Amino acid sequence: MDDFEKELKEGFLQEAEQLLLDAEQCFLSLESLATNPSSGDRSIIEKIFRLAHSLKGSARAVGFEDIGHFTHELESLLVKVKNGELRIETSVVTLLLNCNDHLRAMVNTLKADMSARIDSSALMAELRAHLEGRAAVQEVRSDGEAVPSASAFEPEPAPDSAGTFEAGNQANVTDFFEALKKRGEKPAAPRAETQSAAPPTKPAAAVEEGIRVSLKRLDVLMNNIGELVILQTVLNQHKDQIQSTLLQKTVGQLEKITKDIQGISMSLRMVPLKQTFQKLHRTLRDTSKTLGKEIQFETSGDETEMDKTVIDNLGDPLVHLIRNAADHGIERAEDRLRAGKPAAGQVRIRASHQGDRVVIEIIDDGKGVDPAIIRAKAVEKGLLSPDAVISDQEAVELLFHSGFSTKSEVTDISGRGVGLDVVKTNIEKLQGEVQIESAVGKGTTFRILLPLTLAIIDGMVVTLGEERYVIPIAHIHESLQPGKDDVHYFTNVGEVLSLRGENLPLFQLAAVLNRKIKARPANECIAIVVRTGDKPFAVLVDDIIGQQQVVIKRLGDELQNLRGFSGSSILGDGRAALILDINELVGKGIAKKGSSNNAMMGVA
Amino acid sequence: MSTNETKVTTEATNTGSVQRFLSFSLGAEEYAVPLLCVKEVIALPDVTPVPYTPQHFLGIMNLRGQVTSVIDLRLKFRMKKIENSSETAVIIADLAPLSLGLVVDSINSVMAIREGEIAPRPQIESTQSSEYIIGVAKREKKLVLLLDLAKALSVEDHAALSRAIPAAKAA
Repeated sequence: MDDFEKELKEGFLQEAEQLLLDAEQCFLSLESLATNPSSGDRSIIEKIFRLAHSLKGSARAVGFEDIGHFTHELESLLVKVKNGELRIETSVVTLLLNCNDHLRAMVNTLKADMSARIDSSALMAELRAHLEGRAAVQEVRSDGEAVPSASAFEPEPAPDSAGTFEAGNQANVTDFFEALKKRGEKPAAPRAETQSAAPPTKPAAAVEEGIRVSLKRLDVLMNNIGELVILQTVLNQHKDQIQSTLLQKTVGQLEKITKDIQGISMSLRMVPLKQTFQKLHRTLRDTSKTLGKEIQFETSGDETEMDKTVIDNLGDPLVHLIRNAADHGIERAEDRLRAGKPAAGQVRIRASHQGDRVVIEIIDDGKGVDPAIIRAKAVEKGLLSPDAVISDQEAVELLFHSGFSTKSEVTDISGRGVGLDVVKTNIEKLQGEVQIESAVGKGTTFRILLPLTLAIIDGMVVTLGEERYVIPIAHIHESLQPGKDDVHYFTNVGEVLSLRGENLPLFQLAAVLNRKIKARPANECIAIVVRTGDKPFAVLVDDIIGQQQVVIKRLGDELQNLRGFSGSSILGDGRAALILDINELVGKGIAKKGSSNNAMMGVA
Repeated sequence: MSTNETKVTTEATNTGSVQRFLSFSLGAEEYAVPLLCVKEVIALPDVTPVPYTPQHFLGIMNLRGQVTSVIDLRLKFRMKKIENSSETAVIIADLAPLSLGLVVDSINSVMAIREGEIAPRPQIESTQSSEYIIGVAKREKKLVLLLDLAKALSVEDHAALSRAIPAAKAA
């Protein structure tokens, strides 16, 4: 295979992936069309048809015969659907989705090995069955529901084609379907005319032109821009030393351009959540089918953009939460009706911006989480002492502790002992947090808060003796200079900061970091209040230098075991500084110190 | 790096082949590392200390935009700390996938050493493993210890670092 051919094939595989994603979404909308035919939007079928057609065309053009072949047969089925000869029902949509999965598997296999051959005979047989109307007949028998269109596409006896058909003989299969397709197309002719009256939908490619760039090249660019930003900061800091006004002006202009470049480069890595949500739609569909529950899915804010890395790592936690909602959240139809709710459950996923964070909410209208059950379970598992008094909210939050699975039977869908604690850990790795809100009988909302990007953060540069550290602004609630009377010391509790009537545990950063730096009197220091963790606390630093955007640099592999630091950064003077994960650093200290935590025995 | 090590050993059986080493001083002692694993040599930059790391882990530095860890080879070998001078240098070692800076007292020269000149490492009774020593070469009446950097640093340091991180203590 020469380079040119290889390039063509690679290009096709990338394109195919996108086409298949689009197609999946269309199939799913097709299903809602089936349950609610009054919406009558036929353009979706047109779109699917177009997608399949272009996939077939390109596959054949670059020489992926297997895909071309399979798509061709899929197209035959689609023709029937398009012409209204085959009624859209769940079994058809399931088949179409299976075909889509199969095609995706094909694309993935070919990505690894371009000369791979894939056997599609099983699905092809199923497709044929549907084409001949066999499956539809079975459907009629099984649920006794009349399929009005069944007679419309009753296969012509077609003994000739069926006779020549031999399983495994692909050439014959193609001929057979070619013939079928031709037959299927004839009655479509008058229909096509009426449809042409409708405004022609533009091909998707015309909407926005774009090019594909490998993530690797983007990363190199980002790295260099990070470097540029650092150098720019150095220039700005020494601008006053420049004698020439022209040079000074140039530095000023350069700064503007650098900011622009930085802004654009950040946006390059941003991708909308749409695809992630689409995958969730599919997950929910499959899950609800397996569980035999009827669940409606609704998304909003899928145009919200996030950093590619964040989105890539968000998939698993979201899938987990969606499955969780379907399995544990939504009740069975009879229970729902008894509770005075519509039989069909509802799972909504909503994304929106909130300041410099993205909020993703997974909302179900299920039975909610009963704090009493959680409490009992926690006591049973030894997570909580029987006489502990915790609020309902605190009880619900116990769900995030490891080894906590409330459903007693382990199901296929969710709850294998690993549970929400994994979700929490994954989200926290992305510098985000998960919240839960639940009302018994009304439903549960999981709220995920995430930073827009992981590459650049707003940081507060603080000093400790001669050393400087960066604390992400997102973690800082407020910073203040404590008065003499605000700081109290108790031998058995440690230092306490009284802040507007609230008593917060106070930590010395030097002690937290295990640095041998002499502590200065508290009233000469700055207290930084952190409220993002489980419990609020304050940390004492020597001084604050200022707030600035810092480019996060990964620490080397030799430091991967080091906990408490989310990375490093290069400050304006070109020196490296560590970015503190203040919750992690202080976390252990709180567990020892806080009195309310005594209730939690086994929880680390 | 294991590839370097195998190279040395295979060349040892091959009479006459020449391997190049970068020699440097730690105090009065002379050491050398295979030149192939040296990326560059720079003057000692500002180094930011990293909490919860062993003493020989000096910290991190900015190497043209890349944050690189710096190890004080003198402390690593448990030598007495010597004041930094203008001679003090950092060898940037490429120990794929790691890239580490090593602080040494001075850089001496690039030596071409014939395999025949490499004597096996002295057998000593010691609690410390001497596996990271490739061998000994003689240069103008002085002995030079040839080091396998990967063995001398990364493996052991990985373990040391993971051990050296205790829970943060409350104030």
